[in-house]
Amino acid sequence: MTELFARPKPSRDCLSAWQISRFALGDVAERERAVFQEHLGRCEHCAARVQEEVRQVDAAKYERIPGELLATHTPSSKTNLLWLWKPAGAMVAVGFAAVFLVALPQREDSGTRMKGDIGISLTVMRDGSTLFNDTPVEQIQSLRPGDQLRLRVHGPSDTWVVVQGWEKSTWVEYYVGAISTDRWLPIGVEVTSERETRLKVFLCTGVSDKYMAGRFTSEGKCQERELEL
Amino acid sequence: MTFVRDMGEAYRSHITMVRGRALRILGVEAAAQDVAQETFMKLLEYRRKGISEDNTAAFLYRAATNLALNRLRDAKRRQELLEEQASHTSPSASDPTDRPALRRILGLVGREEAEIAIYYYVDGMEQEEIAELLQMERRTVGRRLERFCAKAQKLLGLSTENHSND
Repeated sequence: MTELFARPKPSRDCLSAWQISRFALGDVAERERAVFQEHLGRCEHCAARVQEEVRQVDAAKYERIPGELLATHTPSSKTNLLWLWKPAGAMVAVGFAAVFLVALPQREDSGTRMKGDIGISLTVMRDGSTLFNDTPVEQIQSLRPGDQLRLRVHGPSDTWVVVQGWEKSTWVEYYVGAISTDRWLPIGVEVTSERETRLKVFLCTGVSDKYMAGRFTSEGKCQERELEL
Repeated sequence: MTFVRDMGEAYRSHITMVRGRALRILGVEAAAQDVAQETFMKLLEYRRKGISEDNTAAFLYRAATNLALNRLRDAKRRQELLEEQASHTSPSASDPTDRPALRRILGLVGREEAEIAIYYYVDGMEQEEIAELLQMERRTVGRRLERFCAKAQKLLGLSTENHSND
């Protein structure tokens, strides 16, 4: 019995294109991963395809995002909190901002407390106008609910950035990604309450994927800065 | 099963998969790039309606499949694609699976059969895997694949003997 058309794999056990893509994206369950890895250990054909796709996925982390994708407002039913970050001026590559909620204080002592020496600047939008534009975080004061922030993290080009926020007595990962050439993070922060805001920003070197970045932060291998705004 | 909320991140993490997927179906890089962009716009459009996909990769994979298939089903575009492939590639060297013939037939048979055939012949997915991705019965996948083969054989002027998809 023969196939009507040739199929793109030498044997039925070989991985399909969909399986290879999911594997390269790290989007496979533990049990399935073990099966794939066992096959990859003995199949040069599939191993080469996986290697090539992983290489391309890594390269795409620096790919320019098409303008059409960046020029539209995108609400999401999951959170209903997606918004487009559009800072004044043309110096910032516009990116979609996954909003995460953080609470910021309007404390009497104002100012920002911090640990670590990673350079961070903010652009702050209030009521549609720019309040601060690419301003060092140390100089930011008097934020209030409704303010929208965007972070610029100054670090070498081969680093990964991890941002965590303090929520309900635990650190929650808000963002993990390779640092972009303009250093702006493709996420925004919206101030939602008067409570204190705590953010941790990590810069990790020698990292090739999200999993590794997460591990490095927990192992204390990344440069770290903690902000209380 | 992963939902990727941020559009920029969704683009950068999935563009390789989407573009590769479109290229395998269409065989022409420029057309595949167009389909890739259309696919992400589809995702954006979907989310703008207030709907969230459970699995971003699966959503994009299916959307890219359908958009690429639309091109093959458009007679004018199909002809352009086939001419483009003929002018840039040597089928015997780079396309041992006779993809031009498959592409031509994908554009001529019913959409349901063509979609299943793409997953089976272009992606090398097994029927169980196709059923899982499309959330349908494996038997339905099998039936559609059989229908595709019957139509393809007719179009190719082949005997219906000696071919199997099980």
